[in-house]
Amino acid sequence: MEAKRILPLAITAWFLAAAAGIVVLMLFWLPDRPPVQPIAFPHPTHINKVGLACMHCHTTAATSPRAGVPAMSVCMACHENAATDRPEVQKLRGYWDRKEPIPWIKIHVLPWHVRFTHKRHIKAGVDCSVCHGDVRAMMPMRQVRSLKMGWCIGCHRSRGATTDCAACHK
Amino acid sequence: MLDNLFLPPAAEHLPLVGPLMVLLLLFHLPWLGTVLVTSGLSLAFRKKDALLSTRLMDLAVSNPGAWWIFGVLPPIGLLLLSGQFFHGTPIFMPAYYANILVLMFPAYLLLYLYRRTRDIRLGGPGHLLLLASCWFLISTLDLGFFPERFFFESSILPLLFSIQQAVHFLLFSALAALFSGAAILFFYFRWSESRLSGEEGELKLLRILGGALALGGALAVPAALVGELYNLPLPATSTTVFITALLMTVFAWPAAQLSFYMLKNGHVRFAPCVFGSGILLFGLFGFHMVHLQSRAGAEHLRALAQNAEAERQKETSAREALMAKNMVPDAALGEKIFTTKCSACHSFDKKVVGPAYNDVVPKYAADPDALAAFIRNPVKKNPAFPAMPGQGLTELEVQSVARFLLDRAGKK
Repeated sequence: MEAKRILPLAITAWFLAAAAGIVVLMLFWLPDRPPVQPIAFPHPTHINKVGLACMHCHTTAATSPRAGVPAMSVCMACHENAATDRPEVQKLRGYWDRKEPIPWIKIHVLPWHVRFTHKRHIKAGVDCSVCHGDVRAMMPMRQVRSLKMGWCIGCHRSRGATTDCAACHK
Repeated sequence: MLDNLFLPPAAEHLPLVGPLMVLLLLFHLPWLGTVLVTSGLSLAFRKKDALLSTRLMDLAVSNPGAWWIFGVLPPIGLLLLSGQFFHGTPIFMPAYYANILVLMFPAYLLLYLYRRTRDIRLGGPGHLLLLASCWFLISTLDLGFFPERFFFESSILPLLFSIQQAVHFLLFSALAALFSGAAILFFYFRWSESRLSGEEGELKLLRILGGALALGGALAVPAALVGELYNLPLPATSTTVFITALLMTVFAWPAAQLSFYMLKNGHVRFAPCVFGSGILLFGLFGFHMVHLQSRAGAEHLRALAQNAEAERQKETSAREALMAKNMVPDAALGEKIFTTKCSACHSFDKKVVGPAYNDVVPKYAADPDALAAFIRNPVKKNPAFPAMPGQGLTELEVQSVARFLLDRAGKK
């Protein structure tokens, strides 16, 4: 008799616990959302409308470990005069005039023990989109690959690249 | 290459693909889950209680139309829609759906024959094949929101066996158990067309079985949801995903409570409510899966829309070029284009982003076609300036701008 009275409460408690679990998972996920950047830079406009290639701005991708965030002078080469009426371009102008660096928030972060170089991957013919997704349609920029070891290894294996630990780990 | 079998989706059709997939999943999954659960139970009770076994098998498939409407047409529709949704991705998704059909249709045939002959040599393999095709279907839906696997998914094993996939299958099984339990109670005890008449003792086992399935399924739903959310890939996650999961938990709760009361009090009064919440839960599950897919493939969908738009513009400009052959370049039109497009970067008398027209245009005075060719397809000439992007002008517009620039730059 007692059990019959407790069971409905137990069922409700079970569902409440699950709902709480879902809310907790959501709270853990919230910080992983794409960050709000200081300037809402539109990759699609620069790639599709202006016709710039990735390496037009990320100049060091093919020659160094880092792809490089372009210097403000690269932006200002065109935006000194182009689209100066847009509010986001005016923000850029503000940083430029104040001689302040733009505090971009880094999106693709690898752990400190990983030694990754853009140069080698581009030399091997890996397209930027393999790791960064379809940036020409991405607004805002977000991380679309896990960048976890299993994912790296999967690609290395399928392309016959090295899987030696020391190749990637410090 | 296989992608050529499918036309790329038109811009207007693209927003319809997702909702259509949800609709097809809503038609397919509840029925598929019910057939899976009831055929398994029918095989289990085959010797112990032959009548019960027959009733279980008859539940979802006694009407031949059901095979077609819920079993055959939706997966074919999903195959076609996946060809549109995943057009241009490194994997050929329709092939995965085709594999499902290869497993599913023989399973249907074997189960159909089992229902007629009661021969376990047909029912056993039929049930196993159906189980395999459900597993494959869930893995394929999973692959849809794992774009990082598209690039090197050469082996089928990691696709079929991953924790995330197992958790999704658990969620599907829980919903299938809930729905088939509710369907047993609803169709055999409440629905006037198919209500069973017999002694209470004879029907008791069927009623308890229905109630227990509904209760067990409803209880497993929230656990499977928490496991699923814990394992979701980052690009597929969004607030909507969590809210859908919360809604599913909210709707599974009354199903569990009411099934429990029906079991406890030995009646079937709430069967329609539990059945309704089963349909609702499967609807939310379908939406959940398609939303994950659209979220993970958001950029791919946007790129497809851009391609469709570019294709349309190409056709329009080809048509206009044909018309422009008979039209005379018009300097007034050229001026209008200059003010809306060119003047953002160019001025006649001073350097802006690009060079001053008065410095460069006179070079083309003797060769207007070369100027038109440059406007049509700009190439970098002077390293001191950034490359000029193409402006997507029609032939008449190109000629008109060239005429306007030559007229105006020549005058000063």
